[in-house]
Amino acid sequence: MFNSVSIGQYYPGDSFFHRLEPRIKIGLITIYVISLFLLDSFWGYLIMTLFTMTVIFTSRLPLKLMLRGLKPLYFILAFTLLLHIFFTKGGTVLFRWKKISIESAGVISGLMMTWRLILLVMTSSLLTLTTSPIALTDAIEGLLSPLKPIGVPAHELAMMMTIALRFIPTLLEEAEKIMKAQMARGADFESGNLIQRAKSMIPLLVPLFISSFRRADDLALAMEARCYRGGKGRTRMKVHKVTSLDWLTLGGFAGTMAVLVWLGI
Amino acid sequence: MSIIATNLTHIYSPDTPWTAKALDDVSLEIQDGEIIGLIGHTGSGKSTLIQHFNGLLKPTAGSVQVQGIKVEKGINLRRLRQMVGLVFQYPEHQLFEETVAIDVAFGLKNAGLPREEIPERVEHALGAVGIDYETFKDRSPFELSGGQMRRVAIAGVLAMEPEVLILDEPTAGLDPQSRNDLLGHLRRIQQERGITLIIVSHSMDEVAAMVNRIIVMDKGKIYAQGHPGEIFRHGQELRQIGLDVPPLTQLMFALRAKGQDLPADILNLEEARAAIGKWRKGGQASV
Amino acid sequence: MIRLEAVSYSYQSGEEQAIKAVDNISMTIEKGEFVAIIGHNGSGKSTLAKLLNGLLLPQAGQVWVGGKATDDPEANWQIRQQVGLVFQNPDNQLIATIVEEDVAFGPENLGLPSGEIVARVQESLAQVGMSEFRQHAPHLLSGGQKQRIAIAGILAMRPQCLVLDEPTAMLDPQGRREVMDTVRRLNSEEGMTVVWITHHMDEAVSAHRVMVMDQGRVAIQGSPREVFRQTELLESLDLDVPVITRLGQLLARDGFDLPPDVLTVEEMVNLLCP
Repeated sequence: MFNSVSIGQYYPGDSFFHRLEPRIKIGLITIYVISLFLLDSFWGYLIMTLFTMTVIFTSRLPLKLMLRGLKPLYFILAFTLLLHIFFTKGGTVLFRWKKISIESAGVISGLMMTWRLILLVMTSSLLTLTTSPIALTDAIEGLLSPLKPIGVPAHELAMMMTIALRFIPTLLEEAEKIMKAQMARGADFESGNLIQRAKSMIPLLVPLFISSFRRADDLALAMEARCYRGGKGRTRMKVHKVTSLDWLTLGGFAGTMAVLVWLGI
Repeated sequence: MSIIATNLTHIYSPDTPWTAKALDDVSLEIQDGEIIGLIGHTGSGKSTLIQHFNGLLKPTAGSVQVQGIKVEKGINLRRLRQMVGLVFQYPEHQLFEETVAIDVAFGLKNAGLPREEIPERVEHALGAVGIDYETFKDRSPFELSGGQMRRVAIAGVLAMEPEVLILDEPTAGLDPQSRNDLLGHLRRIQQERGITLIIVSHSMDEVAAMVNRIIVMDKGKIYAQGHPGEIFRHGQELRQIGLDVPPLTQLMFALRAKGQDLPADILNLEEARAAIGKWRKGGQASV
Repeated sequence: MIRLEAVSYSYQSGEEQAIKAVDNISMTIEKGEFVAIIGHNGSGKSTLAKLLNGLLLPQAGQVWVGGKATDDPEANWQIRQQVGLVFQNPDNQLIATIVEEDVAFGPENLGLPSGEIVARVQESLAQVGMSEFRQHAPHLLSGGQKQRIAIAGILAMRPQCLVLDEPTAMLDPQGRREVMDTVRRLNSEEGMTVVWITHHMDEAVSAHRVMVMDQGRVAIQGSPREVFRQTELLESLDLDVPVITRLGQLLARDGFDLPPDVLTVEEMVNLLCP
């Protein structure tokens, strides 16, 4: 039952966007998100959509995969749309029934909001889809390391992320095993009210915690045996170098966005 | 008739990229009171098979009947799971209660057994695996040794007094002493209660001495089944599907390869000793 | 290579008396040797493993690795690099989501330059026969494969000695064979010093030297033949004797002309039917 969960689902490839330096990628996406809020018009969204589509197609990411990524958001998308349709007033009245009315401004702003949300989610997911988890943690470590002097534990955070990514599948597998073992002893995880259900999780959670602690103990020992002593003096196998092409892409994109915003599109 | 599987097929995550056929058209019958060794390497489908016997998994195709109950959607799983006790690999990882007695009672409470009957059942189940009730009932299960934890976890299933007891790799990770202890308890429990016992293992050597029938699985199918002796006769083929051939069987095969007249189906040390003794006498007589 | 001088180590468990896990052990492990350490659970063999690379420091006595004491804080990291430790559960010693990243972890901690790390990762993966799995996710590999990745991760630190603490206890027969073959080859072809801790007797048969531990002490020590011939002593320590050795002894009692220390099937075949 946990098999369908795949976190940080990296979609390997060798496209231009795949090869961009991860830190630059984070920069690009940040600029994109800011621009999306500044460009609040039909034409602005259209241009942004073109950008997103271009990246999706050149990276050879299946559109189906992208749409599946939106699935958890269906509810929020529908909610946003309906909220605007019913509560934003203005323009011509399209429909009226007793106190409820739908007006054109509501429909337009509802559609625009939903459009923006879809762009936002799709584009941000491009980051995890085209960057391996390791490269991503490295990038985060790199971006945070200037903040080390003020006490931000950049290396430790990145290491925690790496270990979490490594152990999520292992722990999910383990959770499933424990669940089955308790079900074999007659445990019921599915029926009952909320409180009963929460209570029925105890036979799953206690063993899972115990096993996680045991794993953490083992892992700490194994890391120590492999000479781990924190980020100090540690080097990396893969050195991510920002190339001039990376800079050029970032500069070009930032420039284009600045011009679009300045033009007031 | 205890368990009948007919053309049983199980496919994990169908219609996804990671779909996998774990069982492929398996048919078998297990009689009441039989002791079965279910052998196969990791991924051969043996764990998937046993999970059908207590309804944790349902067939993708084909059917499974346990004591006349067909395993399908909507059946009374509680009753089925009480009837078929399934002990998973490393069962000590499922312990969670504060004391040994409460943990063993978990299944009984779920089964809705009257409160006053519980202690007696718990005591009985712990006794069957050689754990003294009075000494251990109030101890935390997490303070026990590995072998003791394993036995307490098995008692948790035994307490439900199942008619079929299935254990997945019950001796994995135990040292020889704890392993022999545990196998001894299982043998006695089977004899005393006359239950059907299914032991899943990847070591034939370990189960050969105590089972009536070995079922060998490979790639989701039944590769061979029969009396341990018959199975051992196929020693060399078994190695190719990732199983260990017991050293004594290897010895017999090596001697036979040299043209010596020795049986291929010996099961244990005493049989090997007798067979070699007989072979030597025969050899001398002909000289 | 490694020398233990009257080493003791005890664990304090609550208010109860301390448990002596390792009790006054002295031993030497020579370069290129394959030493098997046997004992049932709780005999002190895992504690001994951790003493060998300074993960634990002796409470009495001294552990010497290549002339340096493990309790010398200056030499601590050097010793962990020289004596690589592989643990029982392969899942709990892999830290990265991609095989090659995991193997790189040790050399990265040693602060090596990137090019050197890449070279070592390739070399170590080749040594354990896992090169083609470079880009795989560890959690999708079999137990034996995971354990070989763990060994590669240690090899990438270029240790002089490999200590393996029950590396096969959680593996199926196929995985056991894979891991055993890999380590035996490292020992015979590349001269790697190996300390192999196990409770499977048959894994100790091919060692140069076998050490049996009981209650923190060395109970028997010697070549596999010298050790396994002592059937009764081993059984009194709740240990199994290789079944071929037992058969040899039973047949000898029946009048066969067999030595008490036949170890392998091949030997037995040659003795019975030359």
